[in-house]
This record gives sequence, structure tokens and C-alpha cells, in this order.
Amino acid sequence: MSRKLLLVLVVLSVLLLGISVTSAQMEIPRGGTVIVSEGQQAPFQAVFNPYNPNPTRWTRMSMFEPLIVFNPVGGEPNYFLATSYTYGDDLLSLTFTLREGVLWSDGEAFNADDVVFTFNLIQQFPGLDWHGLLAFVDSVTKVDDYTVTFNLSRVYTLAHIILGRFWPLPEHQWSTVADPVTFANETPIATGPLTNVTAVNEQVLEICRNANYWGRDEAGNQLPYIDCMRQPVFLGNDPANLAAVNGEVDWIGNFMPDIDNTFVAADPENHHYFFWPGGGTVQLYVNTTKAPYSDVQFRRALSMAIDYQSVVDIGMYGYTIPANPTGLGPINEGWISQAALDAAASMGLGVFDSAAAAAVLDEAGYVDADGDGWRDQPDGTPIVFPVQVVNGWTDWVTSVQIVVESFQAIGLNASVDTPEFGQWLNNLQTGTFDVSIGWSASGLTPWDFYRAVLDSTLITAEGVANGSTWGRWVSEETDGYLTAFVATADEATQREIMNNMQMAYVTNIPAIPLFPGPTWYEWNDSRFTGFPTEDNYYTQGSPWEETFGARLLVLLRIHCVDDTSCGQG
Amino acid sequence: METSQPVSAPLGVPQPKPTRRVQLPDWMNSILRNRKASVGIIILTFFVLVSLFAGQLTSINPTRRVGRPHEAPSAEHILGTTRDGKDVFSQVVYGGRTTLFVGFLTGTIIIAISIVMGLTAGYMGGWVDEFLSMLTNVFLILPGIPLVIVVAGWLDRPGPATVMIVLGAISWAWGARVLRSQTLTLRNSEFVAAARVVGEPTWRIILFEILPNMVSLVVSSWIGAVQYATLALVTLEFIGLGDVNIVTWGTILFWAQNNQALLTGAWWTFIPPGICIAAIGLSLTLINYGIDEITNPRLQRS
Amino acid sequence: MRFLARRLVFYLVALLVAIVLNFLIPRLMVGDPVQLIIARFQGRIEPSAVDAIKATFGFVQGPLHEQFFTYLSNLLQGNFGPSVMNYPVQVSQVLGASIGWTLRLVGTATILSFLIGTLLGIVAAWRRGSFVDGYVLPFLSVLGAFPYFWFALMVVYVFAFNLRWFPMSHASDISLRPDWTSWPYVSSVIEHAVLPLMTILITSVGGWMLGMRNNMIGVLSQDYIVMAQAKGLAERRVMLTYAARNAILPALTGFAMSLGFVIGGALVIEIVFSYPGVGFTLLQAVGARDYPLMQAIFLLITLAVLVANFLADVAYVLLDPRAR
Repeated sequence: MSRKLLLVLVVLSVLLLGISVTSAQMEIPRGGTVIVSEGQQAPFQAVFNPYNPNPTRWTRMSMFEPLIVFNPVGGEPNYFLATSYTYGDDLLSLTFTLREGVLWSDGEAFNADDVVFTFNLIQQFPGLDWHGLLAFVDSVTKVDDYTVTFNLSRVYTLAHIILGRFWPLPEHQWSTVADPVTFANETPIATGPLTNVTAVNEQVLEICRNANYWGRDEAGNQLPYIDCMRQPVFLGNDPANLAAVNGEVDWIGNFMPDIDNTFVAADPENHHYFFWPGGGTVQLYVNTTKAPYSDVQFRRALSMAIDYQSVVDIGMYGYTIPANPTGLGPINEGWISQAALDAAASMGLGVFDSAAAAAVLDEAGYVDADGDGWRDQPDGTPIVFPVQVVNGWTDWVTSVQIVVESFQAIGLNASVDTPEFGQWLNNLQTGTFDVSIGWSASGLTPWDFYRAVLDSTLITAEGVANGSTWGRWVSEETDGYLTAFVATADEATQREIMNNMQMAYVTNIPAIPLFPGPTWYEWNDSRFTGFPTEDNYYTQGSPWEETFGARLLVLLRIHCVDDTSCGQG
Repeated sequence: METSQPVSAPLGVPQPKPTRRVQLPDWMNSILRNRKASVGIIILTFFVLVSLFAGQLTSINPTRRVGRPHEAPSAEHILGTTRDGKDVFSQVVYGGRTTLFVGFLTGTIIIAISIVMGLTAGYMGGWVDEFLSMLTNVFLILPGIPLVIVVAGWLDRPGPATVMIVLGAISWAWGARVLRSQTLTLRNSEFVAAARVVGEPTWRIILFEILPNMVSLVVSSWIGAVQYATLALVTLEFIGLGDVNIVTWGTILFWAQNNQALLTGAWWTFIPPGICIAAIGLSLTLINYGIDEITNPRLQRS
Repeated sequence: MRFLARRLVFYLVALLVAIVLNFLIPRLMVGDPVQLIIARFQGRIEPSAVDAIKATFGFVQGPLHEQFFTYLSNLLQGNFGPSVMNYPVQVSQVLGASIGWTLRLVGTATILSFLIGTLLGIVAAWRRGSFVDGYVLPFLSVLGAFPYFWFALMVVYVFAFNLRWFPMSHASDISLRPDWTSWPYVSSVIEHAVLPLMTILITSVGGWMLGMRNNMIGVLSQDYIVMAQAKGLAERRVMLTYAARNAILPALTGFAMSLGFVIGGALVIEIVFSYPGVGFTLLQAVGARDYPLMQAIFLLITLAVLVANFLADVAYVLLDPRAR
């Protein structure tokens, strides 16, 4: 081979390589059906009404888009049907600028009329008020075709988050619907990336791309990259997990026991998971209206007695971390008050120390008075308490078994009680319990968590505790922080309020935080890529996430690995 | 599921004539002489003994964490450990105790109600029979397991006691129907007529004249009921409707399944309880088989 | 005929009782469907949205007697009202999808199990001590002793997950459009039914076989069989038309009951194989306190059992001259 020819070949191959590299950067492969598994444990029905209490999966935050998605990871706004928002000077109005050039999936243009129509519809049919807007919005006015102003009935500085989640409906379709509450909307018209329902039956849901979708990537390509989303029905975790291990699904939001030895081991190259502990904090609720649980020293001893690490490692399979005593998890990381943490540390809260816990009980007079081996109340009344947990929720049951072991170790006669879900919920709401494990809420600010647990206005006159107010904590101080927080837009003031709130939480111990809820999320990189990874966790990856709308952010990023993988499925 | 319940003595079919006053010892003798029945009895006795001497067989508390998660069988843990580090052997031993106890007690409750309903209806006749038969037939058409699922939701807590009450309350109809038709044939026999002439009270006639003549039928129905109750209990627990905090064979399987025992290779949490349940089922089948052969010698002749 | 008329009256009364029980039994459960819907979101909804949900589901929270009359009038019009967990979809639509699968799978399994079991029972009784009598019967009895969910899980794990001979879940290939005229779809349905069908068959056939064998042996010793044999009638004819015909009578009621209960589905099999049947729908309805859905399923089971029983009565009258 002559040197000249060799040179030509080298140059040519470099050129070719260069071209292929740039084209890979430029052109993201399009098409493909991403297979999702996220715990749909019932046959699909065609209910594409986003304001139905329980619409078909993927109706909200994929078929219907909100105005703004506030990313649960970091809290940054991602603008969808709105492009900006501003509060009025008196904080009694909130104005959204709407996105221009958005088409409904049937080709009609989206504008301010749709937003005004939808809010008026909700006002007319309160059964549609899924976001609880009527509690703080009076009316809406159209400023121009792409600007609307919501007039608030009271100052509520979280209004932009709640209203950001509002799903406009197409006026040209819904204005003819007689009763929008009972309307199933079997042939939906929406603006989201996936609107074309190609299968909805007892075995599978398949929704394909909206040909009119407004979204474009930086290179100007229309989004989404994927053609369709297909979700099979699995009647339980087991068949779903077997399918995942077998590589039959791409995007998963299920609990899997021993995930490293099963799912990951089956294909370590492509099978990944990341359980971001950004869910609501799971806590031990105590009935603060009853002795001895009404005694803060008793609650303090409970908090010190628990073997948190074992709860997390064995009960929760090591999938989360022990909670800190403020109850705030990673989703509110930036809000956690060091002063509150220090105060908690000086009280010994949240740190497993049986001896110290026993000492607290001894000092407060909880000793074994009748010689049966268990501690009694200072007046001699025996302490016997079952810790309630929903029957069959295995991670929680195991966690409670460990908690009970911890309590028994300091001489408390605790046991595990496993009522069925409906019964359990009823017990917590009506206050027929002593101690129980339970969930809490989480939001972009700590307000959602503290409000769910402490807001005494959520307890009805009949004594039914809504939200997570099961502990029946009633305090003017904490109620005051909750109202003050949403009455100001000043961030420094808000921080100060939340610092005080955290201090109140650790000193009063209205509930005992156990661990922040892990958010189940696994993905299979063999056919699709672009999923949030542990290193690049651009949003919560769980395909079931439709409170914040993180799912929309993922849907618009994922694409098939190459053209062959686009063709499968 | 009800699909596999064979019919042994349905309505309207003439039954083989019972021999008068079967002596229990004879009865036991013939059972022990029957090969199938004795194999069944040996298996059953083995499990009963294991349950009785659970404390002697293992010193490990089945509800305490004693090892690392999913330890394979070893000298220390003969059948390994569960996902949360509990000893499987000890769980199987103690779990068997609860399972057998609940199974037998439930079977007994079922058959007791069957006897009361069936014998009263069959002997009394008239409107009592009409009413009780009606009741029996209504209970017969109520779907068993689905109903248990619903009724279990009424009672405070799921658990063995719930299952016992519910299964007992709704599963007696089949046995009552079988026993009633047998009572009908016995009611007109000479010795019952004789007892009536002598002036024995009704309850005495039912208990001491009629019942002893149906011993084989009662025993085989009882064993059938125990078998049904045990399987129903295990199945309900497996689908998560039992108390998952109590150790029984059903809940061991529930936990094994929830921790994906087969997928993670922890077969020791899944296979042993399954085999134990099957062994109990088999032993009861064999005993019933033997009883059939004894009361109906034709079955034995080759 | 008087026999059938009497039975008919009974069935009517039983139906009325069942209609009332079907209404009452689910409502005695603790827990409220509306709270359960809210709770399913585990704190991820605005507490003020609770009012919206309550407004939507007012119809399951009215006084009991009002609910009962709604239920009755719905029944008379032949509908069951909307399902709670699938609101506003009608109960009939929710059940429509799953009933087909249940009838096909569990129905086929029940009929096959009865036929195969009966046939084997006849052979075992006729050829005492043969291979069928001496080995097949005990073998099936051992299999029948296993809890069938356990058996089903082992089957899935070995034949579907490890060996990959059969699909692990669903009733058909979910990437295919349901179309009963297309062979790829029908064949995928058959392929998906193999494992669940075999599981039900294997664990239930032994019971029928043993029952039939024992009945048959009883009949075989009757005088008229001995007579028929003595007269030199063909062996097969004696076995089938004389002996089996009479021996099958006692099993008919049991078979009818099983057929009736088919509509209740095979819960555990459905869960293990993700088979979209009625059993799982009922379990879900119970969990969600979906009264209308529960009522409908119970009513359908009751009706099916009654109809099946009545048919068994008719068959009885036809086959057994003594009953006329």
C-alpha cells in the first residue's frame, strides 16, 4: 500500500468519524414505545378527565399539562402553558402570562379563554376542585388573549405553586359537557406531549404522541422524542418485578426487595435504580390527647429508644436514611435549621440510646410499679400500647416490629397491631389509637409537611383528623406559624418562621420522624436513555409522580438509544 | 376455591345401610389396619408431635431477629433465615402449631354447626326442616372465599380468630346437607322407632341413637372440613388477609413471597412451608380414603 | 315436575335473600370509600380538595335505606350504577372486560377438570389396581394436597421465568390489538392460558377422580350391573351406559356448584399470572369499599350458582328416573 493511499484513507476515516460524531450530537433518535411499570394494579378504564378523583394514569401531567412545573428536585420553575407569573403588590392577585402558539391536540389554539373557562367551570362545579383553588381564589379575569389574573380571596403566597398545577381544559370541547364531574372524557383533547390513546383496556394502556405538541428541543426538533408510552397492568408487585428483572420494561416505579441481587444483577450494565428519599417523612404518630402520650418526656423517651438504623436497613431494605428530628427530608434540605438540630441533639432526640431513653422514663416516674416487668404510669396505671400498622404493608410492618422491639427493650409493654387499611385509617382519623406509623406530606417548602401534621383546622368539629393531623396536636403557636408563613412573600421572614417552627417541632415532639419516604424509581438503559440518574438527577424519576409534574420533565427528555431500539416494542 | 370439592354423599342417593351401633374401638382398629389411613395418621401424628414439642425442638424465638437477612441453611439455622433475619426452622415449627390448631378448630366448628343443622332438620322434619334447609341452601350458594374476604373486613382485625369465625359461620352448609340426608334415612329405621316408642326425648334420640350411626360420615366430613379450613386459612394469609404479624405457614409464605424468595434464591423460606401444608393435606386425604374403604369394603377389594 | 317446581320456588326465595345480603354484607365493613380514595394519595393532595371528592361521591354516603332503594331500582333497570374506584365508569363496563377472561379460563379449567377427573375415575374403578388406579390417582392426590397458589408460583418461576417456555403474565400478548379473528392474537391467548389452566387442572382433577372412582365402585357392585355382565353385554357398554351413567349422578350437583362459582374467578391464580379476571376485581373492590362493584359481583355469582343448580336439577330428572 502506498503511503499516499494510506494518508488518504486516514484522512477519510477521520472525516467519517467526525461526521458520525457530530450527527450523533445533533440528531437524537426519534420513535419507540417506552414500556412503563408503576404499580397499576387494576384494569385500565377510559377516564381522561383530569379533575376526576382517580382518572386513568397519565391523564394528569402528561396528557393534560399544567401552567408551571416546579421541579421537586431544587424547586426551579419549568414553564409549560404559562411563561411567567407575578403577584400583585397587595399579594391579592396573581397574573400568569400564557404561552403563545400552543395548539390543542385537535388543532384549535390554546389561549386565555380556556383558562378562564376552566376556573369558572370549577367554581360552578365544586366537585372539580381537585387543587382546592376555591379556598383562596375569588375569580379570574382575562387581561388579554395570553394574560390572565387570578384574584385571591386572601393572601396566600403559595398560590403560584398550587395554581401552577392547574390544568386548563379546552373550552370548545368542555363547554358542551352537561356534567363535567361525571364526565369520563373518553376521547380527550389536550395540549400535553402524549394525547393519542391507542389502547385502554383490562391489560394495557398505550398513549402516543401529540402531533401538535408545542415543545421543541434546543436544536428545534419537536418533542417528545418517543412515539408512545405503554403500560401493562400487573396485578401485584411480584409479576411486575419478574417482568422488570426479565428486561421487559424500560421505566419503573415499583418497590423491589433486594434490588441489587435481583433487578440489577440480571443486567448490571443497563438496570439501574435510585430511590431519592424525597417523599413525605414516615413518622410514628402518638395520640397526644391521652396519657402517657400527652407527656413530652414520654414522647422524648420513645424517640430515643428507637433503633433507627435497623428500621432503615431491615424494615426499609436500606432504601432510605433515618429522618432528622425536624421531620424535614432531602426535599426541603435548604430549609433545615441548624439551631433546631442542635436543640434536638441536646435532648437526645432521634439517636438510638436505650439506656438514655430508660433514664428519661425513670426520671419522669414511669417505673415498674406492679412488678410485672413492664413500666407503669406515675400513678400506677399500667402502660400497654399496640403500635398500629397497616396489615400487609410489609416494609412498614417490619419497621414497626423493630420499633416495638426497641420499646420492649426499655421496659415498655408495646406490641404490633395490624388492622386492615380501611380500619387503620378509620382508627387514626377518629383517634382510636395510641401509637401508629403513618405518612406525611411533602412539598417545595416545609409548610406542606408541618401543615399536614400540625394544622389544627384540619381536625373537624366531630373530631375527624384530616391530612396527617392524627396525633391531634393543637397549638396556637404552630397554627400561628402556618398562617404567618403564607401571609408573607418575603423569603427572609419565611425562613425565620420556619426556623421557629422547627424549634417548636423538636421541643414538643408532636410526632416521631422515622425516615423520609423513598421514591421508587428504576430504569433500564438498554432501549431508552435520558432518564434521571443518581449523578444527574434533574428531577424525580418515578413514573407515577404527578403531584409536582416531574414525570413531564422526564417524558420530554427520554429517547431511544439508537434506531434499532426505536423499532422494537 | 370450591371447584375441587368432590361429592361424597349427595341428596337423594341411597346410602349403604349403616350397621347398628358401631363400637369406637373396633373402628379405630379397622382404621389402623388400613394401610392408607395408617400412613395418613403417621404423617399427621408427626406434625402434631412437632407442634406439641415445638419448645423442645428449637430454642429460637420465631419472631425475634437472630441472624443476618436471608442466611442459607447451616448448622446454626437448619432452614436458614428470613429476609428480616428470623429463623425459618423455628418459624415452620411454631407456625405449624398455629396453622394446625386453627385448621382443626375451624374444621370442628364447621362440622359442629353442620351436625346441629343437619340432624335437627333431618330428624324434626316439617317446617323446621323446611326452614333449616332453606337456610342451608342459601349459605350453600354464597361464594365462600370472596365472602370471607368481605366479612374479614368487618371484624376488628384480620387474623386466625377472624378466619375461624368467618369460615365456621359460612362453610357449614355442605356438611349439613349431607348429614341431613343421612338422618332422613336413619329416622325411619327400626331402632329409632323403638327408641321413640320407649319415649326417649328427641335430643337423646338424635345424640345417642342417630349420631353414633353416622360416625364414619361425620368423621370424614370433619376431616374434609379441616382440610378445607387449613387451605382456606393458608390462602387468605398468603394474599395478605391474615395477620402478617403472627407466624403461621400461610404468613411465612406471605413474607417469602413479598421478599421475592424465589427470585433472590431464598428457596428455604418458600419450599418448606409449602411441603408441610401439602403433607398435612395428603395425610388428611389418606385418612379419609381409608375411612371410605373401611365403611365401604367394596372399595378395598381388588 | 313437582320436584322442579318446588326447586324453582326455592331458587326465587334464595335469590331474594341473596339480593338483600349482597347489599348488607359489604356495608357492614368498617371504612368509608371516600376516605379511602383520599388516603390513597398518602398526603399528596390538598386537604381542601377533600370537599371536592366528597361532593363527587355523595351517592355512596347517603342513608342506608336510600342506598338500598337506589340499589333495587338500579337492579330492576338491569344496571349496577357507577363503580366507586373507577368513577364514573359503570360497574357493568368494569366487569365486562374481566368476566370474559374469567369464564374462558376458569370455565374451561372447571369443565376439563371434571371431564378428565370423571373419565380417569371410571377407568380406575373399572380396572382396579391398574396403572391409572395404582399410580395416577395417588400422584394426583399428592399434587392436589399442595396449596395451589404455591404450586402456581413454582410453575411461573420454573416454566416462565427460568425456562421461558411460557409467558409470565397477562391473558394475551399486550402489544397485539384484541381481535378474535386474528390467529396471532388467538394463539397468544392460548399460549398465555396454558400455565394457569394447567395449574388449576393439576391441583383439582384428583378430587373429581377419587369421587367418581368411589361412586363407580359402589355402582359396579349393584345387581343390575352384574346382570348386564352376565348377559354378556359388551364391556364398554356396561361401563359407560350402565355404570358410569348412574355413578355420575352424585357428582352432578358438585359440578354445578363449581360451574356457578366459576364467575367468582380464581383469585390467587389471577394474582400470580396477572390474569385480568373477576376474582382480583373483587379483591380490589373490597379494598376500596366499592359497594356497587362488590354487590354486582356477588349477585352475578349467586345468579350463576342458582342457574347452574337448576340445570343440575333438570339433568338429574332426565338421568335418574327415580327423581321424576
